Amino acid sequence: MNKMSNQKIREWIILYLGDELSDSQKQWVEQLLLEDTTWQSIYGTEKKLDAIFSGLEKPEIELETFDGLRQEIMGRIRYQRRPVSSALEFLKGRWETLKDHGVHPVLAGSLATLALIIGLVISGLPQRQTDLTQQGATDPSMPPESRLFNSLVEKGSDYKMMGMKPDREGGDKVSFDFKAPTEDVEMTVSPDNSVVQDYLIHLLKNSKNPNHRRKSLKILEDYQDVDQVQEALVTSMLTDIDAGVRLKAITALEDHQITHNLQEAYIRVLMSDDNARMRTEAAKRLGTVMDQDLLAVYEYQVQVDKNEYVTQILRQNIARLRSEQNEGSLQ
Amino acid sequence: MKEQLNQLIERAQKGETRAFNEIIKHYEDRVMSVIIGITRDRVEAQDVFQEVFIKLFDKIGHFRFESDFFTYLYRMTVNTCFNAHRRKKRHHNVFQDTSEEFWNVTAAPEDEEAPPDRDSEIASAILRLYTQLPPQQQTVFALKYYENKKVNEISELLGVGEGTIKRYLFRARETMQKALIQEGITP
Repeated sequence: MNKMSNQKIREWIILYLGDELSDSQKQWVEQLLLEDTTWQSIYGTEKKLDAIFSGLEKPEIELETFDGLRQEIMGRIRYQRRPVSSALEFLKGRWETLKDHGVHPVLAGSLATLALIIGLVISGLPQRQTDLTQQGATDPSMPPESRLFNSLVEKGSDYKMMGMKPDREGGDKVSFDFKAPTEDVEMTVSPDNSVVQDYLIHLLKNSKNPNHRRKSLKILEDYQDVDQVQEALVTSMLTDIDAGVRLKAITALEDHQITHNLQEAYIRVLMSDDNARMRTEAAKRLGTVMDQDLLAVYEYQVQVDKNEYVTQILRQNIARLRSEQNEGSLQ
Repeated sequence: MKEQLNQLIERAQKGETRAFNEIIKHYEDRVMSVIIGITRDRVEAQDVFQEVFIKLFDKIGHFRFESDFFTYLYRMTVNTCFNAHRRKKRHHNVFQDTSEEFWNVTAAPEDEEAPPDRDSEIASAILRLYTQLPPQQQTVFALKYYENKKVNEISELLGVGEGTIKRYLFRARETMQKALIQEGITP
């Protein structure tokens, strides 16, 4: 420690003042200050500086200011994109506001259509919660890991999944590392098993670990003919906090036929996702659907979306739908 | 209390604006205190305050109740302050002359009746120097001295290593100390 640079010692003194050193480091600084008058003086200066920095008063904000700010925020929110689940209310609110302001009925009508579409989106969302109890394990209060373990090997204990590893070679196995108070177990299972699939769906929807969600998604991609898998992918695309996982989910859905529900889910992504890549993907997918009701969605989104690439795709979609509209009227 | 708050959050996640209004009311003091500690500017603080809650409204659907809600909001607040400062800094760099004028205009007027005492002289110099620090150093400095956070807490909040936080902190202190000495102000 004697060879420490002066800069480092100064840093330690600053950390000492903030009570951020270990006991041995503190002792070292205290010893130095006892023995060295130059460092005593530096310590004095740093201490004064510390007191000045910490003692600066904050400007005050009057209570009435908060009322005004809150009102302004609530006002701005009415014109913002809403969280995913509240798009319908948002549009309703907007429609009412526009109606109050005497907006042309055609525009109000477009918004009503849009509200209807969003309403369908919300009502059509997958609500199913993965329930492993249906798959053989009995105690619903048991953690899902234990239930999976029990239903596969008929053994009861408190198992916690610590890691998972899809088999890279064959792609038809997945290994889980389980930890229990009495034993650690590695279990290699086939995702063909519906209990395993349910567990993977559970992980995709609920795991706190984004890696586990990504890996589950990767495995489940191969089981897209299973209804619950598509539901899980859609849920993940709409709600996962990690944009990387949402992107993987929307990519995994690429080859899926765009059903009514999936179309609605893409609308939600287009209108609510903060990530421009997600909105781009959604706009592209919707562009393959010739549904005139989408015109209202595109026209609205083109006004509010700040991403040029997204708006460019939306304009192409609008042009495509309009040309189809014209062709229809000519016939 | 926590239960009630969680219910409010859940309702806000479903888009209920009244619940969101209640959330703002519940956290506004604490959030504003953080913002004003970092920005040291009433007008800017109000702008950032609005930005934080509008961002919260956009993101609240992603909150999963895995962490404390205030920690989540606090992190969002600090990041918003940091980004606002970075934007301001860029703007000032583009209009550097205006920026110089701005500092002169906002400096304490020279024709005050009584000369400022030494403490307020130091305080106003520190505030001026503080606003000129790079955004990273300013944020770390504010969290350390105005929010009384430890280095490890700042590191966790900003998602940056402790070593980096210390470097920003020491640089900020050093810059301010040198500038004070140059101005003939010694603590």
